[in-house]
Amino acid sequence: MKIFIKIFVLSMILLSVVMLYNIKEKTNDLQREKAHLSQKILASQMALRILKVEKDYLSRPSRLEELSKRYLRLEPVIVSQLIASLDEFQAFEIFPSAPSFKKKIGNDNGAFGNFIVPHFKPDVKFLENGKSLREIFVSSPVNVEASKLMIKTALQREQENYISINNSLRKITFKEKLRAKYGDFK
Amino acid sequence: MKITELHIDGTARGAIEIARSRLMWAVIFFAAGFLLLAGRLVSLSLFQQTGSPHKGARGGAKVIMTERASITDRNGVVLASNLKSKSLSVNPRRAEEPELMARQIVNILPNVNYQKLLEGLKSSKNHRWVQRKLTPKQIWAVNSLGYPALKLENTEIRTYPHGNIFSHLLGYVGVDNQPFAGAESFFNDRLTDPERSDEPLVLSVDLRVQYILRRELYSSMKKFKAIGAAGIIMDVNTGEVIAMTSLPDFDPNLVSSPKGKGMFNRITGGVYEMGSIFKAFTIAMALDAGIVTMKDGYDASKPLKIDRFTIRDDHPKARWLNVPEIFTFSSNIATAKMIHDVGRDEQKAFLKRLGMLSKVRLELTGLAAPLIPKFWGEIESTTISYGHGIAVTPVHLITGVASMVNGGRLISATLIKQKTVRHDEKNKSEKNLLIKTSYSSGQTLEKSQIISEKTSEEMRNLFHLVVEKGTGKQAKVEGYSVGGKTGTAEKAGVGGYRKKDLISSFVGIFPVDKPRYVIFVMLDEPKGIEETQNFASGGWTAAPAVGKIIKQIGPILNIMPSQDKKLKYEDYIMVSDH
Repeated sequence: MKIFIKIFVLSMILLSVVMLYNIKEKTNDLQREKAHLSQKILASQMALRILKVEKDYLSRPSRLEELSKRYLRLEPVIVSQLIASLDEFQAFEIFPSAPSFKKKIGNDNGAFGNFIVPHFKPDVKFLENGKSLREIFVSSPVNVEASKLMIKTALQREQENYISINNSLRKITFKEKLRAKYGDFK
Repeated sequence: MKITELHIDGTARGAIEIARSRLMWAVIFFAAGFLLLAGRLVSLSLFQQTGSPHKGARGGAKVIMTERASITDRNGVVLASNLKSKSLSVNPRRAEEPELMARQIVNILPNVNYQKLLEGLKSSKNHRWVQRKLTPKQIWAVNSLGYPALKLENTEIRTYPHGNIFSHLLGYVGVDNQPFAGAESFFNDRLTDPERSDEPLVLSVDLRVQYILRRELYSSMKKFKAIGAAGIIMDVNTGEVIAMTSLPDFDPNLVSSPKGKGMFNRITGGVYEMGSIFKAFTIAMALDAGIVTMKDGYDASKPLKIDRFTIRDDHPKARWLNVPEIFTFSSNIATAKMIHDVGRDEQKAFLKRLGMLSKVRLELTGLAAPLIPKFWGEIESTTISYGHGIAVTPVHLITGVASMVNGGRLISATLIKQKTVRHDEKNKSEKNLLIKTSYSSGQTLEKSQIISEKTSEEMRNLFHLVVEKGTGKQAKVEGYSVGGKTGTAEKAGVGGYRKKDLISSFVGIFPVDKPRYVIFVMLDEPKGIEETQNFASGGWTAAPAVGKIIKQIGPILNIMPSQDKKLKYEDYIMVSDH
């Protein structure tokens, strides 16, 4: 009986020694892997840093200005493209029953996200048809001429509709109002 | 098992005892050894610490990404960053064919001098630098030469992606990345802190605004053939410097020693007599002390004589002028009379509180101390009232003007981005907003009430009048309400003032009804041109530049157009200035 106990104890000891050794080896492997990954992370971080610097170098204002002039029709935003509040932009007061759309679309994170350039989406509908008048404010800088053109076409279309539906509101000179605000469209 | 007990006596017994005790020592020794090994095995396999990816494989110290942290602007655009690179060195003792090697190296690196390199290669030293900071292409070419004498060593390059735009503000570093001037120098401890090497230093400046400021200053400088120009834009509520430029400037990528042109920072290192802009302080102290009200005024019909000096007006009206007229038409005579009523001691104390008499506080090195008269007498007090006889830096001036319009609080200028506050929250009143701003700005913000809020409002109206009716008309911007004041001072030379050499400046405040930013632009020795009827004063040279800058930066800084602000005190002004 005693001999069995001794053999058992001895084999347990051997087993635990082997397991301990295995664990140690595995740990070593993991540690090597970790070191390798750390190296890779550091290399990637350095590469990211280089790319970030390069990105900022390539998007320096003087270069962007030149590229924008050459390839885009975009110009810097000017004051007359901004409105302080939607109350000010009441081209819509001609439709007295139109709910005023007070929510500002866009963000306040600085950069170019917060410029409000008003232009009408062609789906402007009339209250008389039971549909609401909508103003769409796009939060990106838009070429002045382009936005004028969009306003113009949208307005022309809507005004034609407008006359055919209800003549009593004809006296309100929508076009004149915009002409006063944005100058002559021609 | 039964152990037979032996009883040995005599000499044999003694020998066995000795053997036993020796055996015992050996057993103890081996047991201790194995115990030590077992303990070490357990500790290594079970208790070894694991760490972050920044720790080395052997659990060493944190790996430092770069020697210097990056610097970014307020929107996170990189202004300065360290990148890894290689420098080429040579071991001349191992160079076998110096002539051939030198020729090949010069082909790859055209900046290297052939003769010098050859001398170096023939010397008997162990190590010589050939060139620092090679480009990847050059590294590849050098490697493909395959000379064992050449050695590429790891170095770091400090890179400034925006070149000249931030030169004076950032400063530059030397060949071993040691800082010289600017933020590099002031924040050196922070930038080289190993614990924060991958955390960029965020400055208060805005690249877009800085670019516009520099471009406009540059074009004004060229237009008026000025020898230099400087400009600074500051947030009146937080003291944050949004842009700061001094021309001529330099490319920090190319500079490594403090020699050469364009190294002088006019904004912090230069002191100038600011001329009429100082009238704002004189009028503010008189209004705040209750010595005059907006309706009161002084007789400016005749030049004023004090001792041997005669004080004249540049835009003479030759009549009695009330306070808005004195400021709008920039009357020296009336301002001189006003300071006489305020008193010399009060003037000195006021300017001291405003920080005009001590070194300016800003996170840059090389800050100049103002030039103030040793004796503050009657004539000194009089000339200081309209900005002569005291020379301060543009930072002094802009800090002072900001405190005149922001509700009367003196807020020191800072280059560190402060916590942002939403300025356009509509539900909050202006007053709440101001308090919130000052709370949020942390320790760098030091404020004290200089003038009352009421006086500050009057000052805003006066600044607005100058742009609408007075000498600063050229700073008008359609859509924004702008306030400002022109300043023109003759530069002091040997034995008096040089009539032709001017410091023409303009300080602008916008929007003037709810000030957010104050802009100061200064031209050093501008020459009048045909377009300006040969005038080179602040109203003709610096004011239009400020107008152009406001027009461009307004939309970027999210300033909405102001509805037509009613011009207060307009009725007080009898004749418009032409």
